Amino acid sequence: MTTATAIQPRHLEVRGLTKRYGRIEAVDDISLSLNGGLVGLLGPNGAGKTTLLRMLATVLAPDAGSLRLLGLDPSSPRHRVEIRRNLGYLPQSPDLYPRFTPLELVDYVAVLKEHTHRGRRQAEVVRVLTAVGLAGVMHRRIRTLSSGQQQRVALAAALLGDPALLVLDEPATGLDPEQRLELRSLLAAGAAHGTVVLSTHNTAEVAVLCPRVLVMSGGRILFDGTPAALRERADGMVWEDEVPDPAALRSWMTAEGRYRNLGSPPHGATRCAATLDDGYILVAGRRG
Amino acid sequence: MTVLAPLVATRRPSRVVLALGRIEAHRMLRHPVLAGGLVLSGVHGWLTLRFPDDWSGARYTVAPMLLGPVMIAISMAVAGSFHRERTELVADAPVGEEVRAGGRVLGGLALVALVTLIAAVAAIVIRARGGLDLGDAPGRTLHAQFALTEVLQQPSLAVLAVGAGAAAGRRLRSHGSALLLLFTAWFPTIYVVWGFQGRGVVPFSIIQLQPVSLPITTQAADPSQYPASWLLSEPGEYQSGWMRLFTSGSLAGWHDVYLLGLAALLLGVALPRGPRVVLVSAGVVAAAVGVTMQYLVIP
Amino acid sequence: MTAAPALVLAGATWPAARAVTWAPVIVADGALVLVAALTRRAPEDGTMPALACATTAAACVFALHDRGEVLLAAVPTGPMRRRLHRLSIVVAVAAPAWLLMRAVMPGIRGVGVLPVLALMTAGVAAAVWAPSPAVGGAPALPLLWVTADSVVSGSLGPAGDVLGWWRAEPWIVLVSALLAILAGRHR
Repeated sequence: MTTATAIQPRHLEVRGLTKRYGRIEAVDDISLSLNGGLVGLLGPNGAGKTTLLRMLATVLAPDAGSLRLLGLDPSSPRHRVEIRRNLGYLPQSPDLYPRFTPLELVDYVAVLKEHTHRGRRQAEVVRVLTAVGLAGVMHRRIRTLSSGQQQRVALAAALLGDPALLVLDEPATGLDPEQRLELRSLLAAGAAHGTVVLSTHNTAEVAVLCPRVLVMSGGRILFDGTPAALRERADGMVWEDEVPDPAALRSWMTAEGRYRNLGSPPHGATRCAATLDDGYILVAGRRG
Repeated sequence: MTVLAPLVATRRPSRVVLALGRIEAHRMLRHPVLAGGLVLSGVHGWLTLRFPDDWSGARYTVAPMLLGPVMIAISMAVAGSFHRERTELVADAPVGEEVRAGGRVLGGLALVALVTLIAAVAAIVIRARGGLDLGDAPGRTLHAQFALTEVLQQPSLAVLAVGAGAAAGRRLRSHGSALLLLFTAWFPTIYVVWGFQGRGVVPFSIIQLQPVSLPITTQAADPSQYPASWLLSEPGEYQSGWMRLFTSGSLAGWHDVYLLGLAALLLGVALPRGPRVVLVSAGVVAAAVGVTMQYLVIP
Repeated sequence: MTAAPALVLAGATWPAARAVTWAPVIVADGALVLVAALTRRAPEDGTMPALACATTAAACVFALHDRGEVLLAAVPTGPMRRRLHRLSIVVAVAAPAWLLMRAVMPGIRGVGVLPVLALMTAGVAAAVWAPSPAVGGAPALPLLWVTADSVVSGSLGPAGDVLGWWRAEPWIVLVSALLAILAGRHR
């Protein structure tokens, strides 16, 4: 039995992290520090969110910069294994074994996570599958499950052992509104004793769930603060009209058939209260 | 602001087949396995030309095998294309599987065209060099040329490769299984080709090597009693009597029919039920006719 | 509390065996037996042994593909350990199948396991070191190698001799491939 290297359960430190794919800088000189809680990563497609999360999950090595997860350096193979013993990772749209049942798959993952005591392991597997709402289908083959259920199987695998660090890439994909509510409870519980980093396109989720939000675009972090502060970025910069304003930074049609404009409102314009979406669009659209 | 013309769907399946065929041809011609096959065949061809014949007629006999690696590559590239049919994508499209398969086959014909070009160039080069040697004394020639039907064996093999790849790729669930099955089928076809040189089995060979060796007499007989136009092979280490080295454009032609019949049969296996019955039936008939006529041609 | 790796892998053996794609191994072995039956009267010239070794090795490398690779990317049991675990499961099944084939196929009776192992480990080394888009091509290495050897057939001097090492000097290939796998153990 090896002696576990001491970990700092809530600590995550990133300095100058960079990752390139050919000439594309997917992650460009990112620095941040987390000490527990739940952090949401917002950004458009191709912003580098998945690349950043893969580095936080020790699946991808950075090209430059330093990373300390749970107080350990993942570039050291020994530390990397130790980090992974306290890490849960949900990749984006993972492929599962179609002939396995959720119980068999999560049990297999549990074994690979070194939970070798059969009785305790199986109890844990049932616990996480129940927590994600799959108790009723845990004996059905995965290929018979819906995409949302399959997503939850992968989430259950990530939750095994109540990890100190949870890295979740778009965990709400394929979930209906009720399931999203359940996910929120689960993640809040995870954040209570560790660190949860999740990526999402859903600003509403971020608003409810994440006391801290990072907006990423073009490989860089453009905003790091609270959802309220992100929303306030757009205060006084939103107005509505019958037609799109060509001078606006962005303009789109609302459900009521009017046009919502973002930018410097002209004199006499009907200003609206800014939402989190407005703040996000303002920040994420300013890269370059 | 650029105004784009509205996108209007064509209602003609033939145009869809052509468009798909162009896309598939582009993919298959860029497939890395094709490059590998061309390199290996090129090396084999260069080695065959570079080094002196081990025996009289070696180059003439070995030439049909040289594009063997390319045939394996064609089958594998086509198998990849047909295997994609197993992924349900655009299930709501107005074009059915027959049209999509037509596009894939058309794409595969681009590889057939490539093989045809290579075979044609090789035939022209051989003609320009004055031919190849064939046969032993007496009757040996230094100017043997391939008949058109012998040259057409290569494109026929390429069509068979397309059919085999289509069948394996479409019908086997695992892509890896399809590739292994194709390799296992083609490899001995190319390198155990000598096993199909006997008169009884020549018509069934996939790669037909000419000349066909036919025993004509015992060692003691006088070879000058036979027609001067015959190519003969004298008794030696591998044969006890005189052999006639039979070459025939007709034999090659009916062998091509046999290959195309097999190709149709395999292609039928890859297609949905309607066209499958037609192709399989036609293929069986063509293959049977090809084999039968070869037997009739061989003296 | 960490568990011994052997205990982890022992517990993971049955699910890992279920997750292996066995179809290529089954298809390859079945096709080999069929081809051997059809060519049993052909002169023995090394073609059948070459085919059997290449196909068996490639099938084993194909079987290493793990569709759950992305899901399992961040578990403490690393990718190399899982890869070798799967390989040992595949070899445990393929080896008796190989011996059985040798018993029923006269053409490969004289072929030992070393040439197959050499080709297979070379394929695994290719899978370890190939850049991400090319990993799927690793099973092609045994097929390509044997075909190239058949094409060159001893010509091309030393280069031609190297191509024949998988059968003439399988120890060299096996050791080199194992060293390459060891060097890539953190990949």
